Amino acid sequence: MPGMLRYAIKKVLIGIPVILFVSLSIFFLMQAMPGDPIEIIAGERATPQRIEELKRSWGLDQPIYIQYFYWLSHVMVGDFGISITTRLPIAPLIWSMLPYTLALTLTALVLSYVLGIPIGVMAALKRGTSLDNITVGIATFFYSMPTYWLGLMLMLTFGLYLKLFPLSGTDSMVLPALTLTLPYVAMSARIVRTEMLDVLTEDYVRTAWAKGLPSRNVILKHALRNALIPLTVMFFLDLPWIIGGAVIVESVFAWPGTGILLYKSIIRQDYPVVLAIVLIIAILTVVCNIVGDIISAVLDPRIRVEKGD
Amino acid sequence: MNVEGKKEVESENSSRLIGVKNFFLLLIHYRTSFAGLIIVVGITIIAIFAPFIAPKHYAEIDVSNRLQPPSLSHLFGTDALGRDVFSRVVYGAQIALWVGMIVVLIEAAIGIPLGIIAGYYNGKIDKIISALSDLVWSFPPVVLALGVVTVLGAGITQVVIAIALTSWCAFTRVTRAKVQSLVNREFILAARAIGESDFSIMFRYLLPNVASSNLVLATLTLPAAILSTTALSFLGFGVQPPTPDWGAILSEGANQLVIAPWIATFPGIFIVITALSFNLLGDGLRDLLDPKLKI
Amino acid sequence: MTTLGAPLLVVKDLRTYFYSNRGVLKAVDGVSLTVDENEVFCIIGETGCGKSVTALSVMRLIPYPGKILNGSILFRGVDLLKLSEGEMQRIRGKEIAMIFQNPMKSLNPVFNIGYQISEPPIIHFGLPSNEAWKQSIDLIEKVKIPDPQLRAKNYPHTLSGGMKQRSMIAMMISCEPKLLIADEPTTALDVTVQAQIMHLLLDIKKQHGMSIMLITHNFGLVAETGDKVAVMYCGKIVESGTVKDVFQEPIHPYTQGLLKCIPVGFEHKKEIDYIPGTLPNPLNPPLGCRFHPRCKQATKKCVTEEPQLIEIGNGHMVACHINGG
Repeated sequence: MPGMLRYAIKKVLIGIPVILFVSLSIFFLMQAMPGDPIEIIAGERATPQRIEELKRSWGLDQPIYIQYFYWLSHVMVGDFGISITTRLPIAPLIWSMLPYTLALTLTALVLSYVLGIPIGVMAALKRGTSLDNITVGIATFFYSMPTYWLGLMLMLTFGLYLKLFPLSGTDSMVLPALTLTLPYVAMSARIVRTEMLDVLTEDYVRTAWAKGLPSRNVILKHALRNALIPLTVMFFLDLPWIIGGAVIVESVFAWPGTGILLYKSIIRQDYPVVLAIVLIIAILTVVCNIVGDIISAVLDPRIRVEKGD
Repeated sequence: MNVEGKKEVESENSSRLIGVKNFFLLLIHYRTSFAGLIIVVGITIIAIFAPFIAPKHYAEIDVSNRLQPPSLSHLFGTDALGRDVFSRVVYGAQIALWVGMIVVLIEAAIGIPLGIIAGYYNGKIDKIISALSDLVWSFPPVVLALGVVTVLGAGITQVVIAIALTSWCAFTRVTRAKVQSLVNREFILAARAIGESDFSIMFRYLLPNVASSNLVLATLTLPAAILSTTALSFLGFGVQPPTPDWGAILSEGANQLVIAPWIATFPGIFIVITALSFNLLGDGLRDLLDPKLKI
Repeated sequence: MTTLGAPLLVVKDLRTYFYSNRGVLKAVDGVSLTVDENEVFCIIGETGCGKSVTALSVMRLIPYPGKILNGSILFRGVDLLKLSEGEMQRIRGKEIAMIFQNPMKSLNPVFNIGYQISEPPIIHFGLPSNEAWKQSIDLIEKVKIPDPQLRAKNYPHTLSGGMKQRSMIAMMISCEPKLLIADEPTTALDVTVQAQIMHLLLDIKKQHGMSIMLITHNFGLVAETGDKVAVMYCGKIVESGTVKDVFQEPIHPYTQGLLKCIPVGFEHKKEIDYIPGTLPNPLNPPLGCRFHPRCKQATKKCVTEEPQLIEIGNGHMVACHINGG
């Protein structure tokens, strides 16, 4: 265990400069945005005193590299500044919409793996048979589908023609979740199948068969356990990905999450909001990477050992 | 009779037959990929001969005929401006393939050299390139692309750059892995021993050896590029009207979804068919050239 | 016919083919052999001749896209090819066990070796896990790994190649099988370790009254440890018999060629003997006798007709038109 803790701490420590690097990039991106930063934060009808106040608070009278630290100090306490369009603070806006996105994406992610793993395992076990080929075929089909088109078609079929679900709004998460889940189940199933096939051809699985262990033990204990290592890591790395995919789905279904907020903000040129969301997602990505690394160390004894056990 | 001679003639004949027999065996084994290939060729032909296949020009407006359902004169119906959806979809194939190819080329041009350098030099350079590649790889591509588009503005060139910047890492990873497996082989060590320059080694030996894996990757990246670029156009950041990018047509179709569902349906079907055929082809190429490839 | 014991394993006309996208690979094409009790039966041949596939066929561990098409494998009178997978699982690891060539990858990286060694007794004899663990430690000691209590908790990646192979052996003899198949058990190991492992295997054979089917390409090993030997070429057995008979009086030109290839002692020769030509393409083997393109004594009959395995006396069998008759 101590080796594990050391590994985890090391990963977190490495993560911090990465986050700083990302925040630096975003900060400089912000400088490249058109528009006066003071106006952006203060608003059009701000009094001169207000402007002065804000200038000092955000360090705008200082050289740029000092500005970065002022900005960083604001961000670390959760102050992302003011939205240009609403003149309201950004942070509460994002926190109010985040739950919708998380509900949608987490449902889709968990469902994808819960469905994808058994499908993938079965296809791997029945390799070469028509069941396998059909599964791979269907998976490839859904994997080749644009999410926005799938959303529209589902809207048409279930919303319009069958009148089962509403076309948009928050009444029902079914259609947006389905749109997001289907391509992901397809992708998960494909990946699970590939990983399982890899593991099933490993020498140690052959050893397990040679010991006369019953099929269930070999497949679940020896094979799947090993295949799950990269898959668990992938689960965590998929989280930022699926949040990205949510942007499109939310736009199609007018689902009020951070995705549609991002989209609308770009259109309205509300750059502070855009950058705030991108920063949050960037931090989330780095955190997921770190978590993924730590998890693979927990699951795979080979990774933790630096100087021997 | 000289037994040796007879044996040689026999083996020559049988190897020629084996060549033909093998080809057909391969064909049957890879029938889905072959189907994919045929569709790819079909879409390419449609794209190249679009002006001859499409009954009308994609920007030809005919307001008296707006929002007509599919009929014999308008196979896919008409849109809000009376334009023939079928023609627009056919021209859209040109854009899709062209844009997709350029995106893949840019990604390869960035990713492959970085992968070769990372795999060859190892050490610090490798760590930096790999860290960068991993970071960009795990960052949601949609968000990154939107970020780039925000900075650069909307337009098809910007979209191409944005998408290329999100997915070059796949090429780097694949190339780096391949190079690492080659770098300790004798022929590389021999080249170094006779004093061949690093650049020469990378160009003359490593580059050709990573070609087949990257070809498979390119074939599988193209459909993803098409899906991504059309997605950005769907959101309104790509082409400008009246350019008939499939994503843009779908976007118009979304607005008219209830009244005229055909506008959204048909371009999507074309996207699926195109992406599917490239994916099938890519899968087959992978089985043939580099089964261990992990994407 | 000298037998060291009753027949334990009788393989008749075994055919195992692989159906790849480039054609049908006839890895084992009509192999028949008999392994008696308490005996070391060696299968020798060049890489790709089908010896490993023969062993895997006995265990019915042929991977995709392979299939066992034909023949019978009688183990103590029971045809293994007619058993269900469940019945076969009760035989593997318990009555017939197998150790493999590359120990580096043959152990599961996520379980410690004590656990892996305890699995067969738990499954086959229903041993409770704490007793099985004690037995694992005993077995680890038996295979001469030092510090067995400590080692049992180790993960495979912390072990050396020799220790990994010993762990494999411990695993496979844990249920005292009657037949142990060893597929090139020492090829991947250092020379000094090789001798130790073989010594260990022979010790266990004596203690348990076990037979060993040894797959190898090392003639010295066969000469030192083998009772009987079968020489395989291109999916078929070309010569078999007691090690003494086959090595001292090889009949088949291939066997003769192989034995001549081995440089002996300090003899100074002008050239090293070799067998001309290369191994045939397994997807398209030569017609007639498979060795004829490389055989200096080949005749017209050898090109067209496949020779059958015929006994020429004392259990010594050859498949050759010229020398066997």
